[in-house]
Amino acid sequence: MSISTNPWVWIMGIGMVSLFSFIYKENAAYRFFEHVFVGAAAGYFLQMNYVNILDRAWIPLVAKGRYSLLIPIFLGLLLYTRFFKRYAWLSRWATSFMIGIGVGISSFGMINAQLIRQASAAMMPFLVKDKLGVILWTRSANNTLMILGTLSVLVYFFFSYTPKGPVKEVTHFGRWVMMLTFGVAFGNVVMGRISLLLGAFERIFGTWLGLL
Amino acid sequence: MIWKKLQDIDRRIIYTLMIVFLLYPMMFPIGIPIEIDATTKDVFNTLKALNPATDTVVLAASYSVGGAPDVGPQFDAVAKHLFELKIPFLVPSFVSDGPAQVERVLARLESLGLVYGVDAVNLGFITGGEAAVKAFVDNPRTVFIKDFRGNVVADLPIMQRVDKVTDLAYVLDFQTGNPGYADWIRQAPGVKYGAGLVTVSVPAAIPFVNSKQIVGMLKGLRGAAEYELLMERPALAVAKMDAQSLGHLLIVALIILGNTAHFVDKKLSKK
Repeated sequence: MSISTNPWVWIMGIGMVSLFSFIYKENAAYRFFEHVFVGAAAGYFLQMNYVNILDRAWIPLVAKGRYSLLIPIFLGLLLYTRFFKRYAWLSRWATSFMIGIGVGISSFGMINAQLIRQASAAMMPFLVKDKLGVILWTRSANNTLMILGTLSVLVYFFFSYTPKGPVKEVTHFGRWVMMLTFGVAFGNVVMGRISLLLGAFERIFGTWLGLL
Repeated sequence: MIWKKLQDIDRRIIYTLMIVFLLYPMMFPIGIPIEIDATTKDVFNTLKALNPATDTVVLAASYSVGGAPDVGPQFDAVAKHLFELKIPFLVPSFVSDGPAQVERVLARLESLGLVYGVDAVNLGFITGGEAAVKAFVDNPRTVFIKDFRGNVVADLPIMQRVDKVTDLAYVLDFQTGNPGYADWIRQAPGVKYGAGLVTVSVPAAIPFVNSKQIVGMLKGLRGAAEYELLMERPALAVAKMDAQSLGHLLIVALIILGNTAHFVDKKLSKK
């Protein structure tokens, strides 16, 4: 591979290097490209949403006479009353409508998908056997750990009673389980961040400079 | 003295070391073995078992540009696999960054023979998050009026295969946040659903894999590398895994070094 001759790739490369220069120290190049990025992202987002409003609201209303769309359009416009102190309270109508729709849509599925199905999945046998009745020790240990972990964390968050004696030991175990979980989550965060860095390196050293 | 210095290494030295550890294996791959996870095999086997004559798949592109280095390679690999299997796929985007990224992948596949509108369609972006997911599940054929290229969606041949959500053999959702797997499993409980996740989201999604609400999962860049290996076409994701492994080794080494220095220094200062 050789160095890119595409001017857009050059802008990308210089922009990325300028943004990375922040890890050395704050500088004008970093500031410039930070603003370019924010502006470009806002412009792109605005255009995508403009097309959405045009396709889903304006054209069906004007060209197809779907006058029921006037209701969401009116509610959408009410959101902008926030910019006028005297009428700002009207924006709460639209906000309330959106929150109501959001809660209504998600709560219906939440009970089944995230409560009942999860509780049901946590109800598993301590001992797992195959068709011949032989105990599968690895899966059994896994299940036992899952059950004990779930119960101990639930006990940890039971605040109506001050844990004493054996219950306190259970809460300690629950805390260990949570710490391990946070460790796994943090490990994944590190892994994810390195992936992002590799993506940036691929663009700089591969697409731009042609070294990869 | 040295123990004190080791507890306070200049960040620029750490960054330089990290750059060297990541760049070297990208330029000169080492070939560190990669074990393929069962959740990746689930995605691969699910797609491989489909019938090109009757089945249609959804590859939802809900990943942002910021998370694209982690999730983009997954999308590339799966789209290529579907093209090879000749299984048509719809690509709706529930984040605004999606369509433009998808367009690059489709353009590459079109140069290999993919017929736009017959084998695949970039449906474009629909705003609304979970409500948009619900709208798509309720009416996958007509919720998108025009695709990203400006074609009327209802006129495209691929859309004649889909009338309702149960006509979709598998939904594989590539995501970096909201809307994500929780929105889909709430709104589409009867759909066979898999997820391509940014690495950060993986631990929180595991309970849904255990409960079989998520059937098949690709875990970040590693998931993409595993998928490339299953396809027997190792590409860039596999090459990056060497760098990822060395980067992790460096971080582990630095953590051990910092902690050792801390405890040794503490012991010496007591004396």
